[in-house]
Amino acid sequence: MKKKLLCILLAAAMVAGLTACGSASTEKQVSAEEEKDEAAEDDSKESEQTAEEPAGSGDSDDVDELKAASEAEIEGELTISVGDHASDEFVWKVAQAKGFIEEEFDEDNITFNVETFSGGPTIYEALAGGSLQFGIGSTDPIINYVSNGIDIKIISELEIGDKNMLIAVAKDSGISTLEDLAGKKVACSVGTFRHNFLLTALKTVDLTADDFELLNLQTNDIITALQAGEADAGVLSANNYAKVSDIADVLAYSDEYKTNYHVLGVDNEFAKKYPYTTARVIRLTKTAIDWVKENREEAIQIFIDATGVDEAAATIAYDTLAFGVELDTEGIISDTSATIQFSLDNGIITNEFDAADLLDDTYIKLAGIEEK
Amino acid sequence: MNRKKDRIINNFIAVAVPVGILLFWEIAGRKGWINTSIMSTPSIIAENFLSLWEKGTLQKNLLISSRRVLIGFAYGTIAGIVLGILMGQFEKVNKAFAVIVGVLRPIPMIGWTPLFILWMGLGESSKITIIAISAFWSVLVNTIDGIQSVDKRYLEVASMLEKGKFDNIIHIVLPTIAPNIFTGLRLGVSNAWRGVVAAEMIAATAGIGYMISFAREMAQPATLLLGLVIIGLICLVIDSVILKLQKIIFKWNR
Repeated sequence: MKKKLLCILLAAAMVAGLTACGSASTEKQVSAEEEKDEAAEDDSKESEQTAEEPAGSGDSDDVDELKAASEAEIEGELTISVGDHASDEFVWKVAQAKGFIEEEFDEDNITFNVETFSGGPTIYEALAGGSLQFGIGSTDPIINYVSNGIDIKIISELEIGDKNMLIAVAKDSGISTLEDLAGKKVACSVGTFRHNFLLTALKTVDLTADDFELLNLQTNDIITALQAGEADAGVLSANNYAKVSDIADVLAYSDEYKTNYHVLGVDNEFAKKYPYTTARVIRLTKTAIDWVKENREEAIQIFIDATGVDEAAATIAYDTLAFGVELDTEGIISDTSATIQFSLDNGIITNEFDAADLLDDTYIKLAGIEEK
Repeated sequence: MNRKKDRIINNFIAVAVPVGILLFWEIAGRKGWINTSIMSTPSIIAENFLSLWEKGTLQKNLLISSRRVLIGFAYGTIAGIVLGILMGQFEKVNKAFAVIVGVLRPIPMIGWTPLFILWMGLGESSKITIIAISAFWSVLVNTIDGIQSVDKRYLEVASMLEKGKFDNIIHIVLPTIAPNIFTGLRLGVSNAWRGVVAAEMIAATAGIGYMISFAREMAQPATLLLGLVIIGLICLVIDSVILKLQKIIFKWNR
């Protein structure tokens, strides 16, 4: 009898543990469903509000109005966590170094945290799990998570890559064309823009993922793999290519195949609950990005201090990005539509969705920032 | 009659509890009590299993991981038994290695994996070494424990009969420690699978660990969970087989 009781208690404990695994997101999913029911009503209210509010030129009155509206929507304390790349991206590194975060949020009941991750997939993994409200990077990991039912929206841009991603091939690999990659070991971070760029480039020469060996590695390991001769090719950012330029040549740049949009993504439930605060986060990124554009040398130094890379790599990182937060809605929809279709055709995602649903320009309008 | 009834009830509980948990999990997913976007239900995992099986992806990854585990486990087991016997039998050897074993054994394999990959590269040798070491510790510890539990009277009798060390090992020590070795094997197998997953998650082009890390990066929780379930089931099957073998071979030890 005791053993049976023990079995039942153990089973109940396991069940409680399983339920707890989803409980952090259960409330999110349940409240997200409630939010969907109210979505139409909210959207019409917002469009009325937008029509009534000033167009927004970024002057101090508009900023004060935005701040007041943001304070009104927050009850008590609010914690905002954003994801940053450990070895890429300028916006949060500069925002922290120049005190823009404190300037924006210090007088509010808002705690603003910047959490560092190895790349886009891990940032959006944390967002999906409820640990972050905002993420940055390319659109590819967002597409993967949205396809799996996670409610993320793209709300602004940060920059566009300009020859900032490439396929590097070992000088002694004998690879001089994309066709030569067949049967080779190619190192790449899966689920990223780089992965999609690689497959898109190979598709132009009728090669697929089955035609080469994919080594799923993070950037530093890709560099090590190329240096140790463990990989024949690697997909890297231009600043990281600088570390292997003596042993590897550039085979192809991403610009020939895809536009590398770097965007700001948000947990849609959070954005709907705090639209004005979300708009303030966009304003914060604009402040940081505008400063980066105008202060090249200092921005590069901040990047060096934050990432530990050398000056040459940091300079390349800066020079291969076209900074700007204004949303290129048509361009992003067109690019993500192509990515969604490509991902569906290659079994990367299984659930189709409309690229237009990925973007939400409500908050960038509330922030008073013009579209491209 | 009572024993038969008890066996039926026990078997029923053994099946009913896991099935009950799966059913509750499925219902929780369908009712929206858990977020299936990040924690897939059993039916979604099963669908995923069928899809990957049809494509041949699952079999390919399973075969590759199993091959690595077999080779690494064999190396780890042999090394564990040999060093275990030496440390158990010879005090000087025990003194020589005790501190090293004590320091290295608790270090989790996931901590060593990046180093082994740096030292030995991304090829098979680093992965097999990681698996071998993962299996090695439990076999070593259980072998030493077995030797230390050998009845000294048998050794005294062997000494009186002027039997040498080698005879002692073959006729007294090995039969005595064999059950302990089997226990070490059971633990070693699950550790070996943990080792292969750790190694493949960091650097591989195929295998169950690779499949899990690929699924993680691609936001495919169903495939991720499927990989974990498969590893658990494989270890359960192997453990059951070793246990059965142990019961058959060591009838005299009951």
